[in-house]
Amino acid sequence: MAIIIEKLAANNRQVKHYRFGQSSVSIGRGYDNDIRLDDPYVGAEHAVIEQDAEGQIHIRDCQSLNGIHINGKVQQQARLAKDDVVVLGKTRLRVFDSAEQVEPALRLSVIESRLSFLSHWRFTFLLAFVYALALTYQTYLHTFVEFELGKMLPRLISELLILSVWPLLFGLLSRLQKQDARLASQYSILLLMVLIGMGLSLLNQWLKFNFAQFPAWNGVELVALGMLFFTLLWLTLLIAFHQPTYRRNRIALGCTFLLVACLMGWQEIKQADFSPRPPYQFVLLPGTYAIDDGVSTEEFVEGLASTYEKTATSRGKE
Amino acid sequence: MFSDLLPLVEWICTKANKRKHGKALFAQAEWGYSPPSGMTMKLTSLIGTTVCLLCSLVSTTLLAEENAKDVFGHYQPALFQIRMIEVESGNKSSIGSGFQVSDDGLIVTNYHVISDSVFSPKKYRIEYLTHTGETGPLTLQHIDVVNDLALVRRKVEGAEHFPLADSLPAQGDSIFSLGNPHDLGMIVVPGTYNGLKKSSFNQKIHFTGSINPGMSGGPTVNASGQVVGVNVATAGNQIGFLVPLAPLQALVARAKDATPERFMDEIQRQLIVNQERLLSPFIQAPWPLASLGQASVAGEVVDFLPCWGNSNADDKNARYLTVQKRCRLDEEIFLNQRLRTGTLELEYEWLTSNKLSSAAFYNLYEQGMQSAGPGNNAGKENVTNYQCQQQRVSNAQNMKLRFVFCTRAYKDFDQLFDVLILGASYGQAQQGLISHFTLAGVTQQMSQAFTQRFVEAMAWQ
Repeated sequence: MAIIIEKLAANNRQVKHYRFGQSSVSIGRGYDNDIRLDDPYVGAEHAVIEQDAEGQIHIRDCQSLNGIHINGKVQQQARLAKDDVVVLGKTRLRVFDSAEQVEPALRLSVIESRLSFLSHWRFTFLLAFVYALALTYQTYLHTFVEFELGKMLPRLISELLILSVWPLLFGLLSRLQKQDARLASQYSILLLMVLIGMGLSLLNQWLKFNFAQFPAWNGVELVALGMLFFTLLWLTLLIAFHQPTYRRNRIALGCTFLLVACLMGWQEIKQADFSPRPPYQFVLLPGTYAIDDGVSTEEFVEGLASTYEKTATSRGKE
Repeated sequence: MFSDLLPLVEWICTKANKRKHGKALFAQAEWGYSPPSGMTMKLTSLIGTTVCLLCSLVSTTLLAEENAKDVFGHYQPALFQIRMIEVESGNKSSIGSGFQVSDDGLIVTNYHVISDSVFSPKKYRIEYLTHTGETGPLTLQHIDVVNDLALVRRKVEGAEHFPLADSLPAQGDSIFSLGNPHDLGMIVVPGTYNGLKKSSFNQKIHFTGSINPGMSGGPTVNASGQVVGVNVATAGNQIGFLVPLAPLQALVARAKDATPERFMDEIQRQLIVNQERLLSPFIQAPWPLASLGQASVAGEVVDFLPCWGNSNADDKNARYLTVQKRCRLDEEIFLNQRLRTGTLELEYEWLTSNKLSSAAFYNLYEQGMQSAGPGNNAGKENVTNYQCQQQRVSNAQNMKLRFVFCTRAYKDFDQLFDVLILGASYGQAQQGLISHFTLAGVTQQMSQAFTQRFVEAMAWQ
């Protein structure tokens, strides 16, 4: 049986914690107190906390200037429960008995231990190098005049700076939560996801080239994008914050859902607007990537009927 | 080069609206007319004076053509300004010219002058204004959208009218275009008959003389005052176009037929007939082939589809070679201010490079495929959005092609579509052929048959 006093930040997170074996603890700005608060609004002898034989904890105001606020109410004397927030001057405290139970330990995510390799800066630099190579190669393939490597450098730097927003943001957030920023892991995860995204978009090109007729293509693309984003956000949260899994799942799912909904809504709006130009994206790859020769002219011309039908029905809709 | 044939109707109050639509509505935006501030005098009351001034002008400049003066003086009562009156405001929204062709009040004008009353009969009515300033209502009798003619009637008995000529003049003959440009009053423009426009599909008379907005629908007469054509368009600098005698005679002959119940059905019928005449030569037989780079593409199927070529062979910095061939029908059919149709475009581009890697070449090639657009202007009220489908095809010449096919439907005409196709060959590592056509205002059956011929008319050499 001992008195536990926690000093809290504005968001009620613990900043400092004290444990006292005796049954009476004095709090104030004076040097004689058991806990000395360096708060100009706190009196020299501000309050006394006492524990009786049953373990109940009481607080008593020693006629201080600013008094004691318990859960927002001014009180001379009170019995304290575990969740009560006591405010002296501008200092926030929580007082309870050491016999109070702590919450059960969070299970350490198996994934987290498997992801330890991400935390090496060497690995991060390797990924950044691969990303720079991929980007340079892609640009080279899209340059139809003389290719100059020197011009690539500013582009690479700006791309990396833009990408840095994500890991730096989450690094900062975890610092604010008094945790490690773990920037190497954050960078590694982002770069890994970007590289996977590049790979998927190549696959997408190939699929679109070969199976342009597949009707639910938009949906598949959105689902893939959603999954990629979910993974990125989930892993980022895992590294940035100490939070229970269900909470991480919820946040990641919610954000992904929001993103997909926005994209879908935007597509819908774009489709509903009148445009004099045809909506299409043409994917062209050399013949070696084609899985077959395609249809004959006759089949092609017959197959057009469905498009006429579609547009004829949209005539009646408006 | 594809000079826009500007319809010569005078759109008065819609100038601001057109600006919004920018380039698409090129023609009228340039011609939108408001009188200069110094001239905001009462134009209509001045018509009499203007006419007298013009009489003297005409007589001094055209001494040799005594007839012109006589004709103008004699037939002036048979010349009208045709006005679209916006019912709510009671004011004119556009003006053109017209002329009487029978003693019982039949007046010929351009279809594009009165098109608003066909598409929005509740919003617009048609009125005439005589040289003496009298106005009265007109009823629409018949239209010919393909040749841009309309027949309207006013209630009158035994009035002066223009006779139609029996035949076209000889090349070089003087002819006289009559009309009311920019609402300035009726004028005579002397000019020269220069035959029928070369290799055109729907024939027009090539008139050398300036005709201007507002003169639309006015007659062009020979020295004896007989009508040989109807003012319809200009291509700038003294180049004017007239609807020739034959369609005019056909329209006047239809006066005894009953007026169509629904003009929209009539327009669709006329467009389909026109389209069959236009596309049959393309559908009846396989197209002859002509070479473009290492590829073979459609040669000359018909003589009324002019083609133009270009390449970047002189560009020393280019790491690829592109050779283009573009064919475009030099005319379109005006349906209303926002809707043109009847166009036909056929384009090919052959690309090759021995400096780019195959992957880079295909990226270049792919970039050239992203910007297909329609060949005609059409607004939200008139057509649906495009629907597209893509497909890989290998044609009978064993050419591997990938196509995107898009179509949009006309909202007012249940059988008509705009169709476009864009294709790229993908069988060769270092060369490619882009092929493209657009058709406007066609039926599903005709455009599918056209597509079939188009796809077959490509091969590697």
